[in-house]
Amino acid sequence: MLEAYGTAIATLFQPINLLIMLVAVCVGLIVGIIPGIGGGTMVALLLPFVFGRSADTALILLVSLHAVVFTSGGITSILLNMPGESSSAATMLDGFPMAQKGEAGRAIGAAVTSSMFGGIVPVIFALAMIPLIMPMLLAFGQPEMAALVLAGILFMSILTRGAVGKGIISGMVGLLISVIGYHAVTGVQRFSFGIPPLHDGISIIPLALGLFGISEMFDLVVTGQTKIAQTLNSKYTGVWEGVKDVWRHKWLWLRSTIIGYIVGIIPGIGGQVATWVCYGQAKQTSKHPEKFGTGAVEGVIAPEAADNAKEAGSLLTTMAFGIPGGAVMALMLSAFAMVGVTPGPKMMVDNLPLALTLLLGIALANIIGAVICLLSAPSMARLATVRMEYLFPAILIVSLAGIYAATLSPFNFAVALAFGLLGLAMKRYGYSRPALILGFALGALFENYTLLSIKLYGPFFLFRPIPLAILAITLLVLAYPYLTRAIARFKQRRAAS
Amino acid sequence: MKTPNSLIADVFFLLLGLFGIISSLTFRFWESMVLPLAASTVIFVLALAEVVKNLRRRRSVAAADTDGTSEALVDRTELKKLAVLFTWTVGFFLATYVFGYYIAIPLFAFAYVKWTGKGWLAALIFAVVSLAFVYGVFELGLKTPLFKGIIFGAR
Repeated sequence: MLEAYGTAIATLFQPINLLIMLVAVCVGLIVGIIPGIGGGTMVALLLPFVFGRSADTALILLVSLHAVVFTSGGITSILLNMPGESSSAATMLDGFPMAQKGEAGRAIGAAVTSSMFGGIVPVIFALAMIPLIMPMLLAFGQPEMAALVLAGILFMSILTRGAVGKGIISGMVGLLISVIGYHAVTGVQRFSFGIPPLHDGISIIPLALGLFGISEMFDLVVTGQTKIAQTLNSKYTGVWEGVKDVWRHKWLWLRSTIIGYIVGIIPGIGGQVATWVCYGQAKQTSKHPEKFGTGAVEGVIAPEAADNAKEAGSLLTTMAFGIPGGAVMALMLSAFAMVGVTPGPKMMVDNLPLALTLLLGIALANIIGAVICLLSAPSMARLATVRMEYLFPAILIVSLAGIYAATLSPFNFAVALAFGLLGLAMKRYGYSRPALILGFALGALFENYTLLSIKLYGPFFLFRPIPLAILAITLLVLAYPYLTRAIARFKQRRAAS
Repeated sequence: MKTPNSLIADVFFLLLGLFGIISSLTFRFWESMVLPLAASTVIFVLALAEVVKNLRRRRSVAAADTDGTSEALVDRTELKKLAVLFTWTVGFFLATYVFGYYIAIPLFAFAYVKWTGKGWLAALIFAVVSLAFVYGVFELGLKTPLFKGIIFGAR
């Protein structure tokens, strides 16, 4: 284990990897600042660049980029009252009032410091957890993994607000798309309609770029946005005061970090859940809850810590079980496959130094990102005022070039466009794009585990104790909102009678 | 204002589920049939539930609608904008396929920015920067030659 740590640190501090990390952090911070372009879009845009790189360099690039997206997302929430990332929305509630009161510097100082330590400390939790989960991982066979994969896809449907059914449909559509092409076991052609480029299936790159990149741009232009953000409040003093605020509220910060980390470990529960839960608990436990919403610094510290804390947990689940915590981790799963690494229990045995490198990479990227943010927050926030006239063609050009570079097939232009339209429709009509991408990323894995389980244990393999427990918990979580509603209605009726 | 209703998407997924079930049943081995059949069945059943739920809601909303503000299937203004955007995107795709990246990129970048009402200089600078960025990253940085287009001898 110690040897693995040594290798991980040596890999991380190789000059080329440090350089890649620095570039990725800068790109990630810019992406976090610009509302509308999420970490998912950018990771999708960068997938073509992963081809042909060494595993550690390619994955450090993606992990570092994604690790800091949430750090800068809070800056636009504070200065522009517009979240750079959807999970930074909770920061707006108190961050923007602080900026209006002339405390923008203090709010940014608190947000960035809280984010930075929120990104670093969970890495220590994750590293400590690895020896503990190893025996469990090795005890998991095909049926348990099949149940876990299914649970991951179903959990993702919870993200579809108020429409679990639509979330499950989206996940299943992803599974269905993943089977297009030759079936590796039987050689049967499935859903390829005699079109030769479809014989090998659909590549994740045009699919992801269509669903997240092109559809997002369509949506921004169609809704008539010319500028993403309109105003800029750039008063920037008292940063150090904000840094000290995090120390003053260290227990709140620690609670939020732990909650964020736990939420990150559970597949399918998004960052928004973590940030709002932490905002709520910060208000509940505050001595001055009435100040929340008017510029309380605790309202900035709690969601920012949780937002970054979830990443280490999410990456650990992705690497250890091969089950991504969300859409970005599903894309990351594909990146792992592109560089020849298969996440799952085997990775933690065969590729432990790489797993450690990536976890430590999150911590280092957070430090670099925080320093850059503290030094240049107001200038960075100006990036959010980029005009759509330039953003739309720029994203389209990079997407198209990336698709060809990665797949060498012009056919994939059409695939990306088709998924761009599908993604737009899904976004508009309440379906879940993250669930689709998760279903797609896990489709082949789920099919392999299922077929092997059927052959080894028969068609009722899910009725073994561990798979049954996993599925029971999943169904309980899915049914929870309906159950509570039914119980409330029952109580109302009893009270009325 | 009319709000979009997901009926069109629900029906699309219903048909997709139905198509998946019918197609899956034609696959020769059970191993190749299990996953697509199971996924298609779930899609079909849940999409059917969504369609029924939607139709019921539409009926109740229409009954209560006295001033014509009920839910709309599509927003016509947005649909028009999408059609224009889609045309630009398809145009760019076709230009790339025919002329290759290094002609299509500056052409599209210049034409689009000019079309949005920007000046000649801004459009020209954007076109040059776009071309330089893509050439620098892909050809020089990644050593990946991009598509040359069917006219100029596609790779």
